[in-house]
Amino acid sequence: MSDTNDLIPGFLRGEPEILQELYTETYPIVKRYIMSRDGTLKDAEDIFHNALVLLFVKLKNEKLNIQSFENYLFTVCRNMWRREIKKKRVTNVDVSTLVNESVEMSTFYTEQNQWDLYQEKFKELTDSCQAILKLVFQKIAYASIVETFGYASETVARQRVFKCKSRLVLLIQRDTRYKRLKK
Amino acid sequence: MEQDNFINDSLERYLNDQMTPEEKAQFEKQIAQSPELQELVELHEQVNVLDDEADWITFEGDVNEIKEKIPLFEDEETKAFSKKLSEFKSNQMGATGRKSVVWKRLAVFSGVAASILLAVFLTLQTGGGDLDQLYVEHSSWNDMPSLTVKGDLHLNKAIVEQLFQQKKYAEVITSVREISLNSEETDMALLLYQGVSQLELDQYENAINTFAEITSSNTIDHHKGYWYTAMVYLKQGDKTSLIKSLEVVAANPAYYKHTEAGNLLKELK
Repeated sequence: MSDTNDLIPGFLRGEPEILQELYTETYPIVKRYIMSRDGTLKDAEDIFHNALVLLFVKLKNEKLNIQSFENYLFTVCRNMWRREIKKKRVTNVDVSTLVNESVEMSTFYTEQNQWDLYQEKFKELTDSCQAILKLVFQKIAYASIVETFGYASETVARQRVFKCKSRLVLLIQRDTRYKRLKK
Repeated sequence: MEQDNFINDSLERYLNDQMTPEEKAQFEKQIAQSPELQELVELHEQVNVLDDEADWITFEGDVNEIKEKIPLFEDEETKAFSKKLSEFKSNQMGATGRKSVVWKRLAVFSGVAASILLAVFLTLQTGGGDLDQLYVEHSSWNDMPSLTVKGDLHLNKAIVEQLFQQKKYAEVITSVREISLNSEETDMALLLYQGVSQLELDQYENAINTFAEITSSNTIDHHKGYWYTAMVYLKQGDKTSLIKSLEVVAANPAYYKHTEAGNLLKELK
């Protein structure tokens, strides 16, 4: 797989060799992810296409601080699919809603930026806070968390989780990007 | 300061659902009157779904943030890029050509309709013996053994499970290696995580060696190695070796995925 810095200029030019590489290396992983979560082949194709368009727009308009282009592309696809799953669950309609296509894309763009910010702040937490919150976010039962971390009781574990989450919330609130995003 | 502590204590008990109905009603009244408190509650709830596979944090902020990005997707350059992608797929990947739009709309179906469509789609695909499709169907790692079992205080093992769920397969392999180096016994569950991670990273030979280590062990779950070896051959597209591995599993009713192996064999033949 090409180095991220080498790959981006070719991607923005839509060079066939780069697109071939992305469709050969990353698309199968995305396809497997979506199809194993109730998605169809067409869902996978569309999500991958839209994620590439989103990355094109993002890279054209902002400086992206990413370690790996392919990993970030997968993250965007995963988030797009999470959003689709939530939409399906919440709207529960038989046909697609008539929302303007560009509005949908720019809404997701904003939501992805919000997610990137939260994720960035999460990584600023201490290792122990990250470890316990990861388990909480994965809906692991508090009883298991107590055992895993050796806390004296569930109450102690909940207090620790609250402190870590409060720290994360504070880090988010202090960031100028959040101030810009909020109402 | 005292007031802050009181708010924090109330917020914590509210979010942990530890308030009495009266306290809850009172606090909700307080939330309704305080935009700052509303924001705190909203953020606490949002970060809860940061990594939730079935949920997503929608944007509830300034709508202008969205509006100002719309032209970026209506830009000629973006449309040209989208068109280039569609053409590339049609020419190189053999996909069905579709009209070039910026946002390829995903049809939103009701749960029932989606299930029917998926069932029809899978039936059509597996009938043709498409190994790639069969791999997608059978390579579910949902029943991997838990590494955060009751009584086991091994934090590193719990982290391996977390990394695996986050699909950080290279890190899973490194962590398992580190744990094994510091342990006298080989943990079969950890080896399973290592093997599946190698499989996900297309390190087929390594995966086969890991699963061989499991099958040749004296553990109660040694037979799981046969099924996972079959998954390696399925992903590789090696039909002959796949059938051989599946036949071992199908011939032993006590073996892991015995019935599924039999069904898969029928689909392959």
